[in-house]
Amino acid sequence: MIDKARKAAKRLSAALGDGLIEVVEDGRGVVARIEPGALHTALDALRNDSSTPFEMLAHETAIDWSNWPKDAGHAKDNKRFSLIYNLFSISTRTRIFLEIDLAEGQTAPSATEHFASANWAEREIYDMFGIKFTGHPDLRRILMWEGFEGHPLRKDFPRHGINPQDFPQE
Amino acid sequence: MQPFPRDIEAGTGEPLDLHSERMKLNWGPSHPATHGTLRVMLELEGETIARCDTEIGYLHRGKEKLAEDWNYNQCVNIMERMNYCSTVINNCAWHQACEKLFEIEIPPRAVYLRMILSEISRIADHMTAIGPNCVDIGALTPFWYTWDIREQAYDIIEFVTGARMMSAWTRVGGLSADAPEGFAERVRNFVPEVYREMNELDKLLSSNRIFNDRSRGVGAISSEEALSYGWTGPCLRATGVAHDLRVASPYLAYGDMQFDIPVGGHGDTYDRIFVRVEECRQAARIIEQALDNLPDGPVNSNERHVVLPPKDATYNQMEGLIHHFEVIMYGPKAPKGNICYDASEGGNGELGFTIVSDGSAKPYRVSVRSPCYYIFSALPRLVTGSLLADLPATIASLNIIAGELDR
Repeated sequence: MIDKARKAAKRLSAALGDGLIEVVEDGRGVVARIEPGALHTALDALRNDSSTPFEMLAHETAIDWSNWPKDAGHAKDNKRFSLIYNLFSISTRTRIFLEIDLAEGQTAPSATEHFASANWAEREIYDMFGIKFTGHPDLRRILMWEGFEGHPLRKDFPRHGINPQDFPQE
Repeated sequence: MQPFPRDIEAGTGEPLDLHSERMKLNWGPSHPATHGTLRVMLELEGETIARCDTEIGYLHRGKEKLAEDWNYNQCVNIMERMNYCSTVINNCAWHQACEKLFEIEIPPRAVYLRMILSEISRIADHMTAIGPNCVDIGALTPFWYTWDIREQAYDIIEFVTGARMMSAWTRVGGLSADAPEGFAERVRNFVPEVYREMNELDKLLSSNRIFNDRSRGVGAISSEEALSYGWTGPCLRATGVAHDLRVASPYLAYGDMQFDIPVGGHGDTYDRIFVRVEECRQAARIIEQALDNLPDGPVNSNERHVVLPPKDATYNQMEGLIHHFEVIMYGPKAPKGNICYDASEGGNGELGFTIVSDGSAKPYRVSVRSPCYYIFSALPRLVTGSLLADLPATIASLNIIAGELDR
């Protein structure tokens, strides 16, 4: 399986050219780190790949690196967030990951035109991290209520909440 | 066209304006047929659903945020409260992801015990899905059959883990305790019960005219669309895609087991129910084979920095006591800078965890890939244009567990 993912990453790098930063392998498997601008091309290429078509966007999530210890590897320079796209090819049982880095306030291209599953995944990322997606048809909060202040999964959001009335203490 | 006489208000001769407006209907967040706290907003044209929107988050407990503050063993308590119908699968999935992060292996007996209990838990989960689904479409009798087998499954889970629902049974590197004496015998008595009750369910449902009319073609979706929505598990298999993570990327000892992946063809409520029925039979097959091959030996790995030492060492040796203290007080520490993704086949589909470790005893970030979340996002697509009465049938057949939906 991982061989197929490696080959798919090779074909992806041919399709993206400069848009691809690097291909790494870690505990997730094969991860292609790309520029945000290259996302549409990458998703299109992976979905219509000739031998390993990735039919499903299994998951999309974000990581806030702002509390990340300097000596722990995975240095993200000055970019605060990473978006992780988890793609799965049902027919060939192969998984591949895309990763894009975003600075604070930077918008990301939406994957909704390629996969319907991106709709709610991106709404959750917007809700939890405040990352905005261009081209998303319905970017509203999903888990927190409308009018809620802040984005709970950001590292600077305190666990006990911002407004005491939202999260009663004792 | 002349109005019918019954549409003319008596006395005035004016035609009555009936059903010319769309009706807005709010359904939930607390309603018996939602099987959890979720809200569906509908616009009805007569009895047909013209528009549908959903609102979730009523059971959002911020598990991903909480996990950043708890160590890898403590997290099992919050992770199992996601899909509270099959907690053991959640236990095993979480710690399997942790073990991938820690880069450790668990001993064969733990592998097989986890597998047996996961399958028993899967049977309980599917029974929880099928029974209320039948009640929602007016069939009360199957419910008692499903609840009977679910009770027996819970009895075994209680016997092994000490708790019926919130089992918190696994630990990083193994299990909290070995299965008690008499476990194999009890499970062996359970397996024929599963086959028997599945046959009864089959007979009760498959040739029942009312059940067929209420479930066939209801809430149908094509396999391409289901894949695009990120569907996995029984709901995806009901559309005809033979995708099961136990086969696609075998974990535990599923690679050594002989079992089939049941698939449907229409992706409707009927197929979703019967894929689950057949999956229970396959789960029983897996349990039988696993019991035949259940190895002896320890249930915890030898990694001293992760696993609690034996009680004898804790009480009689200085080093044992120190290890015990360190693991309990500080928690096992994951390798620095590791990121991993690991997915298991949960009751509803791919239950995956992305864990990022900064080298401390607590995860830096945990992201849960919950199967319900993606399945439920397709609800407006499933029910728009169908009858209002089909909505409860559709929701129940998707087996939306609010705890897993909202996390």
